[in-house]
Amino acid sequence: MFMEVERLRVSFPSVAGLLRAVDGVSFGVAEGEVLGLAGESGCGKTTTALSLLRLVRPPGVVEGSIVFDGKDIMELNDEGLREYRWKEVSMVFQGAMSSLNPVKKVGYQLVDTILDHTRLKRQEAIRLAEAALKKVRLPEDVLERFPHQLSGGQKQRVVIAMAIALNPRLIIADEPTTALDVLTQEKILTLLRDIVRSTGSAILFISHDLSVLAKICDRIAVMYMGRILEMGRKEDVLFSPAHPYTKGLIDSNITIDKRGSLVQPVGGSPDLVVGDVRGCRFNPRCAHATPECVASEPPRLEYRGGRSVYCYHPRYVENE
Amino acid sequence: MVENPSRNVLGRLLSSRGGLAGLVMLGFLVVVAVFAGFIAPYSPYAIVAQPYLPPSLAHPFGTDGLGRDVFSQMVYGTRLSLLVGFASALGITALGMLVGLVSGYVGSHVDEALMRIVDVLLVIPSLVFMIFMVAVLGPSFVTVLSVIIGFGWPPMARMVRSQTLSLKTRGFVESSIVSGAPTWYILFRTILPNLVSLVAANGVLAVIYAIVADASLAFLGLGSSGGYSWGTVLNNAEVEGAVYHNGLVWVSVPGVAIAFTGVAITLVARALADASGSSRVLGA
Amino acid sequence: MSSPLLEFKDVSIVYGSKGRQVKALDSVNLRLDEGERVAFVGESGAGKTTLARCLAGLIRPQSGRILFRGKDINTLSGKALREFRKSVQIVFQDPYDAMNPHQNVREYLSIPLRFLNGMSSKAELDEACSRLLEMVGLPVELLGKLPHQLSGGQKQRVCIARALASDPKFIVADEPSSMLDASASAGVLNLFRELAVTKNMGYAVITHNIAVAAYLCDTIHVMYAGKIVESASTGNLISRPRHPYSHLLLKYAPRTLSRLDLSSSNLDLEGDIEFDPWKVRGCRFRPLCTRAVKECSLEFPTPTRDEDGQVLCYNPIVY
Repeated sequence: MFMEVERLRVSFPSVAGLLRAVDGVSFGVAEGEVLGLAGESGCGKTTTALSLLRLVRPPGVVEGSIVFDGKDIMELNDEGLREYRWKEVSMVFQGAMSSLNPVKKVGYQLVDTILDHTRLKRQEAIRLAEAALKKVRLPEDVLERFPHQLSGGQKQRVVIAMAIALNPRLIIADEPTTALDVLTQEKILTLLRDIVRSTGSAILFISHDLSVLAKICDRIAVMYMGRILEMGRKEDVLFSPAHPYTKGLIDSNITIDKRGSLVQPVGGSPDLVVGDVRGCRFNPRCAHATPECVASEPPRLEYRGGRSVYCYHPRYVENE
Repeated sequence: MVENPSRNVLGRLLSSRGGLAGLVMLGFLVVVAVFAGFIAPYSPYAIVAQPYLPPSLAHPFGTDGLGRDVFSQMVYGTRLSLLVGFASALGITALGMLVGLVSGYVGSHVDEALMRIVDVLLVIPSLVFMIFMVAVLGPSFVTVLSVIIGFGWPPMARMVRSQTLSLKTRGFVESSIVSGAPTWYILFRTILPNLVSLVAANGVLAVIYAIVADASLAFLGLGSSGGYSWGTVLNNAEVEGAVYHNGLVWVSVPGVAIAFTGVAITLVARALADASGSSRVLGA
Repeated sequence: MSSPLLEFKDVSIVYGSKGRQVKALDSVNLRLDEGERVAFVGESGAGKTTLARCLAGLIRPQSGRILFRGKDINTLSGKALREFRKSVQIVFQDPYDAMNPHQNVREYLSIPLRFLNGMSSKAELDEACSRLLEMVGLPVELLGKLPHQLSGGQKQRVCIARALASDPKFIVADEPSSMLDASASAGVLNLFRELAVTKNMGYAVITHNIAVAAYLCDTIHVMYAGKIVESASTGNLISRPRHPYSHLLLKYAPRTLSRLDLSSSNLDLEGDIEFDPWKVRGCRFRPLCTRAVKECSLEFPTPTRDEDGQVLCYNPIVY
């Protein structure tokens, strides 16, 4: 695990109290793997990702440890951060394809990104930009176009090119396929898989769409209200979910074969965590909740195959 | 850009330091205007001392060419200047908003016709025409007001129209349409509430435009006949040769008053614009 | 069946200027009967949202006619227009956009009650609003809330309640769950199914997700580049898609995870899918099609109709 996150906490002071966007998250990413971070909006996935790059700004407070290649990211000085950001870990931000500067040519933006993170000369940056475009299978003339002249899929590929331009070891992709059509989505997923295969980079893939995660991830972590509820190999988590929330998510996912039946939604809705909340975050909506779930933190249970669940009543797990 | 739905305008204004300062400044002016009779020692027309006196304790701004107290003139002038300013701004806002809403929402020929009128009015050198019209129709409060409103509404109309165009395609406007709402409801109950901060901020700015326009007209001797505004003081200064008699305070005071009002207005407009959360608000 | 509820006759809507014209709807012919539950599936730019807004009478086509019970929608006014609006309602895609930030739930629901149903007394309105909220499974306490105090799922339900206010015969739902989270999505879609049964209502669901289409509807129309390229009953479309595009959509449709082929599969589309369909001569799907034949580059195919439905293809898949 070259990226290790231990007990990460991100809080924001607010009028109503201390808002805990991320509340004790621990996970690791191995070289060349695709780790999925699943969860609904507001569960803390994006905030977790931003903290990995130390992009959480005050008044947000980040606690816990983030260790990359043995280096404590929280302790890096400016020089260290410059070497780390984009060169070791980069990010495809949520909705980035819509945030491209509409009045600048795409090539400029790509080259500027490279220059912002390195001390290279413009010529070298252009070479890197061209190489990156090749990796995302866009023709070189895209450098001369403006964002509005590109399709959604092309724009997303440009943003991915920005993220891989300096060959980082970890790419964080935040909802990279969300606004795209099914066919374009497939193309992007294929592209990302190819990048992992050819460069050996790892990807932290954030999405609320289980079908998409199923297609690209090796392991999946399920987040809810600032915490990870379950984590493990994709097959384990998706085929035999241990946490009731995971099962609920999978059951409520509308698929082609469910058309004749009634899909069960997970009742209620997620909330924001303000102040100190005891017990399991999911208990208000859980059909299996018992008094201990309300009173105190559920324990972390570990199973074979690198699987872990935070629950008092895990379901569907065979032998330990 | 949709509004911050918090319904308390005053609350929003007061919570910003700039807005508060602006309100206080305006409040000061309003107090002066309302209590002019108590604050000013003399009538602006009364000859009370030697002409061309420099500022002194008895006459803080000195006296004019006939021996009238400039300070009293300024105090009484606040009334008319503010009156013209606010009344014109109200007229500009109402007319501009109405035209902008109808033009933006109804579109097609109505929109084209109205916008042609706007274009023409914007191209005309307004001051020249204002002078012309007031000279022809005779200076009076009503004439001055009409002329200022008549040339002041186009920018507001344009801005309201462009906002209306963008709001027209929003889901909640379409919801109102499919729910059978008549046009008046859509314009005034659906679209308008989402324009209020924008309109208020620009409407407030129109006050400065009006005061300056009025002062300009008065400076040229075309102010509301018999009325005393800051422009009238300036007119007197020019006509009665203030500069030759070292009446520098006399000459500057109207300008300072207008500038003071301008700052107050801008602060309030800014605060209103910020409160609505829009970034591109101040247009007109 | 008797006269249809809604009909499209050669409807075309074109956007853009010379140089690049996008035919959001290209001579579309359509017939919707009372009580039908149909879906329009396709990617963005295929014309689905334009179709939805045409059905709701929000857009006027440049050519062709849209008929409501045999009468052209654009000629309706006054009472007749109100009848149309009462019968055909729409739920918009973005619940965050569909509610007026300055109006609370009660005021929002009162608009159709006042202008379509003619209610006026406060008591009448209050009672009707409460009933509407109940219909969509929301607590009455929400009546005084402003939109920013509601969750996405709650907002969408309020919008559905608004559409139900006039007791419509038909609801057009534009991507009813695409802006919602998993938690809220299934609930809203189930609500639709339920309401259709209890209120004897038909609906047209516009979606890019064919799984949602199959879940809610009996008939599916597949749209591509402004045309309906295939129409069939859900069962037939899922098991025997005839148009190559339908086949592709189904191949990548969400399936139950345990049956998903999880090993990496490369997209076997012909060519690069980043092309402009509006610049293609002949069938606009040709650049992506693995079954293209000579005729495909000449002209867009005309519909082939049979008891299964219809398909616009020179070389459809046969079973």
